[in-house]
Amino acid sequence: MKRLLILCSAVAVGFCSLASAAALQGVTSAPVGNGSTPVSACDTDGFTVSYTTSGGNVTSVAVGGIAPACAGGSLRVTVVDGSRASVASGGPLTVSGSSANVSVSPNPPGATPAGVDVSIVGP
Amino acid sequence: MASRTWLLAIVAGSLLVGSGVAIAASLSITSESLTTVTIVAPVPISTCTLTPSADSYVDQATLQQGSNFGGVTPLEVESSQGFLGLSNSNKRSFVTFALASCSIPAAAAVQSATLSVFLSQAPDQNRTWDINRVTGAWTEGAITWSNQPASTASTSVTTGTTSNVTLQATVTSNVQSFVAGSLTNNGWMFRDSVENSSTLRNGQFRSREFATVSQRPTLVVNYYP
Repeated sequence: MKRLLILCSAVAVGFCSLASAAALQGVTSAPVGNGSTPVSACDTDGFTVSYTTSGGNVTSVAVGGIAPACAGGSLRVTVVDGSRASVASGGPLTVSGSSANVSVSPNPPGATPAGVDVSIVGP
Repeated sequence: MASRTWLLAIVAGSLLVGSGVAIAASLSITSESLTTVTIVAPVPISTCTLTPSADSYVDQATLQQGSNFGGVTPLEVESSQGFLGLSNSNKRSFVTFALASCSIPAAAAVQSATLSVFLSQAPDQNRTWDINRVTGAWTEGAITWSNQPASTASTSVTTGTTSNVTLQATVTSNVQSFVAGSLTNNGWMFRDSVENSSTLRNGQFRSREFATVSQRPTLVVNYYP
């Protein structure tokens, strides 16, 4: 009887551990990996972006409309073309205030960008 | 014996719990927030639309070679060997635009530059009009057949035979060079690609003096600063 109890205890603890791991994997793998479902967001109403060009090439991206809750977070931008391929990136930059100007590299021609991915990790 | 069994069971349970924590750690789970937003936003292109700062036509006819037509409308392009073929009497038109008023940075990337004219009277036979880049200075009030500046080939348009249509030509390369300062902007000359026609071929387009603004020649430049 005692042995049976001991075996049951061990199996139960192990099951709980595996269940926890499985649950955690379910939470984290796809959503964080592809960024489609924020774990939690410091800004829920989106951003605005504008470009600065020089010599016809994009040199920086200005991100506006950043919520106060994002202050202290780490901001990165990725400039993408029409097929969503990265053509330039910038950051990280610590957010302070409602806007941030991020230099990007390399400097793609002005006709190339189709949009910007903005990400803020933290605070 | 019983106590050793308990100990083994506890150790086994701890290892399993430990492996769960290890998995969580390997997934970099933290308490930080992550905000990601994709904004679809191409770079806005800058556009400058100009009407000519000067335009005129010149006439090869014997009695007109020294005449200036800077203040008239329409502008004319004509291929003709003249009366009885005694003296060629072609006509050519010149237009230029004050690109400097657009304040386009010299390093800007010109994406397109389109020269448009409103064909108020089409030739009675389809013609090809050469649009040459003018290489010398001229003024609206002084240009004549006799003193017209030289030019070099740039592009061309076909006229068709329908009047009251807009003809458009791409002059992107020329404008990019004008903006960059590698070429001097003296505008363009329109002429029939085959001058001295035995049958007079005349086409006309509105000049900058024409009352209806929308029918004046235009140069539309799209660029990234």
